[in-house]
Amino acid sequence: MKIFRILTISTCLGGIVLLSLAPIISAQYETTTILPAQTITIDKKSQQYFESCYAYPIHLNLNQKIRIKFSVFYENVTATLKIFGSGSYNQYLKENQTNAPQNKIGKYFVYSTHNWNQNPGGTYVQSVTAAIDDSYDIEFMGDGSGSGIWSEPGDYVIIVYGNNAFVNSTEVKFNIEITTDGSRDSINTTISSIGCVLLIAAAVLLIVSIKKEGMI
Amino acid sequence: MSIPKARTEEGASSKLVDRILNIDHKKATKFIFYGITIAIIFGTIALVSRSISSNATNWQNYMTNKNNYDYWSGLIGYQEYLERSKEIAIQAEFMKFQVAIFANIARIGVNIGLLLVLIGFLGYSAQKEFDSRYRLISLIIAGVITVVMMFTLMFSNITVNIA
Repeated sequence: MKIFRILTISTCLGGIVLLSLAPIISAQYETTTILPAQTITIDKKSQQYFESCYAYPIHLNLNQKIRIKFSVFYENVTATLKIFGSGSYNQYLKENQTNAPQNKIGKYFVYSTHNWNQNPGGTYVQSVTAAIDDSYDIEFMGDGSGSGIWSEPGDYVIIVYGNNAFVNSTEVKFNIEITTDGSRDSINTTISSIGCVLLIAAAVLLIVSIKKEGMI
Repeated sequence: MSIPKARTEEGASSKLVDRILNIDHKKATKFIFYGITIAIIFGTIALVSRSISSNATNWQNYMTNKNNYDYWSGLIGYQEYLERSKEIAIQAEFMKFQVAIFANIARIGVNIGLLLVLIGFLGYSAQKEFDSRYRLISLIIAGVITVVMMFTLMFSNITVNIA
């Protein structure tokens, strides 16, 4: 009977602990890093040919969203980020037209400015150009329009090309980091569900123990 | 013309009533205990459900402010902000609506509990070895429970205001 009671109490405590910890543990999985923050160097020839551009392929599932932190902190450098569908990108790559990276129009994405003095808002664009000390917080879901973006699952390529205005340098340096939605919600649901099941089990054990002791 | 079987002493309906009236006081006490337990559990469910519903707007305001804060802090982007705003709105709507589901389930549960309590008190009132005043009080309590059950079944909103 004593073991039964200890089992009931520990099951109940386990349930309460799991229910309390679920949001804390799941918060650690808010985002998943696809590409860690790093500085990339390309040649300024990239603004003329797709083959010289920085290209990072990504796959998006339904309602999946990627977040890109794109910045330039180097003098004389301007870098432009665009996102193409992988089909279009491969076609442009084969065509190998001069100035194609500048002329081709990419998919819509949104960038945010986190101004504490303004209501939340975003700007919907098809490309962003970062000059010295510019930083962009970009979200992409597949496609969009001038007033919003939406989910279009598929394969995409993030490309960056740029220019260095200094005559003695052809280097274009920029910083990029890519993250995506983490498994926060599913982890939270799983841990909370286990907690609920343990609480129900504790209640059942309590009823059984009361019945065994002959109280009812 | 003969009397239908159901109305005779051997009929099924008379047997059920007899069984209720002939329960011993120990069994009647059990009925009352189980009935009260069931009524308390379902009553608690109804109260919790109502509390969640009445606090839904406060929860929505808090979550909206937290969403703004997360955006301004740079933890989330504008698209994530929009998605969370819509999630908060739909969840608040559900928190307001869920009372319609759970309160009705709880009402059925409470009525089943009260029915068991009613059977318990009817059983008390039929105990021949009990004092007549005790039996009368039991019958009155059973009657009061019946009235409460009838009111809760037939009317959705009963409020008692004590000035």
